[in-house]
Amino acid sequence: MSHIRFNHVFLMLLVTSGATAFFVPMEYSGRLRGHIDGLFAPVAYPIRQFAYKVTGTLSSETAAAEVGNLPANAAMEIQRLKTTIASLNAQLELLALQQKMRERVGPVEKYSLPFKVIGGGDGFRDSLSISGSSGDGLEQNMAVVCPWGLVGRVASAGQGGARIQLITDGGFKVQGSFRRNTANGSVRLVTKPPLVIGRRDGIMSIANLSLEQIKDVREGDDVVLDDDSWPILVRGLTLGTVHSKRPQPDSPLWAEIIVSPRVDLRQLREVLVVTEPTGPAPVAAGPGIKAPAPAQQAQQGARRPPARGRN
Amino acid sequence: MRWLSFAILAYLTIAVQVAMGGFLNWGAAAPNLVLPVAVFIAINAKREEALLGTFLLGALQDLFTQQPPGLYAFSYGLVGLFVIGAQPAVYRDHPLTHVFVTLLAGLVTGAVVFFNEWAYPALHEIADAPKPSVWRMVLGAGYTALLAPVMLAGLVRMKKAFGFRNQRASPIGGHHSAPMSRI
Repeated sequence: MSHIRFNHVFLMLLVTSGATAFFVPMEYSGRLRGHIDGLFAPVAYPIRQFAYKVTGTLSSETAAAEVGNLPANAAMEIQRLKTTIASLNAQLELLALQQKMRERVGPVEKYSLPFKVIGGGDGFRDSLSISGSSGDGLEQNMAVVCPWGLVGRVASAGQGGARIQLITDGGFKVQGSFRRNTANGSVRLVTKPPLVIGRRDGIMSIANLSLEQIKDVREGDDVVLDDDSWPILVRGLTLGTVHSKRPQPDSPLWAEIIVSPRVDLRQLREVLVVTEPTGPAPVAAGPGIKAPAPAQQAQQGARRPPARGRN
Repeated sequence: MRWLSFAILAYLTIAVQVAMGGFLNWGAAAPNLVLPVAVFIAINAKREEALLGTFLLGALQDLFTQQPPGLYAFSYGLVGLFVIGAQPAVYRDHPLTHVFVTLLAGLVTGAVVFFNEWAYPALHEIADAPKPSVWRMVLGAGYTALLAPVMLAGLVRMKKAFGFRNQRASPIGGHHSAPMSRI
């Protein structure tokens, strides 16, 4: 190929890729993704397992149980039960108002499929690659959970793999509520609904409440999902715990609350994708991804196959 | 350049980048393990092969990121254009070359990503998009540049497997010239 002809071709490739990156909405260009992720799993998965061992991620997950001297398995089980109890309490409050949903109450696991995590994000975005695909019934916007709470949503699902957008990804927004574990169980704190926004690097923040409105909120309180646009099964799941609160630098009367998940979601080994929600798919989309229309959501609910286990 | 060797290298690099995502972060700095490989190709291959190779690496990486598709293909294509212009003037196998060229490539890529994170929400009317961070971009480029000599030390020893063309005339005062093969 002559110099001049190659230059034209290369210039065309550059212009096309640049135009795609800047001008084409991601809901169209993103369809290219999720088709070949599984091809890289034979190499990516063993490397990730090795990285888990080297970094001792299992020990950090155990530490998140916040129980001092118990064996690792017992500590994890206690933490899982605490999260389940808080989630069930919130679900029961909603079900008192919705008679039709009463028969779907139960652990989220019954309506989910487990998938192994084979890869992480690229540093600019918080995301995970999982071993599932559209052939397993995965679809965009499905909720993703783990024993420690909400993980995020399916950002793209193709024949070759799927990617999850984490709740800590920049711009990921959900509505939540504050809860505190007491001797009487999980108690909801009465505040204006906080809007939890992902801030990357594994943390989230709340910036829509004034200092006066959060005067009863303490470090260590739980922030749970309380958003009508998410399936009822996952409402009440923990988003994280209050790590710190301080006045916003630009608006001293307003608070900035840092919320950190119980574990580093970027280093999860396995996640559960809720494939049979009882309500509409989550619409708390991040930048570049639009929520499905209500008619589409109803069709998605009717189309999903029955949940089945997968390793 | 032997494209089979390039394909194997691209596959392994992307797999490692995907697998190590989230484990190599140091604060806000996250390394881009594909970039040193793109620099290696751009420094050593012929002009057309270098440009195409870097572009393909970027396109492959685009399939595994959350950014708009085409972003890394565009970035690495620009990196290829810059690096092939510097080919006659650098010692291709020297670790310092790898560090500085990777640093420059990281800054170019980071600048493109930074601009995209600023412009994309404005063009598509997306509210509450995260603000791009210059600091994150610079730290990431620096971290990647520090890893480059480590990664490329092994690749330099395997240059024969890629079938790069014979060394051209050496840089001024250098000693890397090899006899031109007879046609």
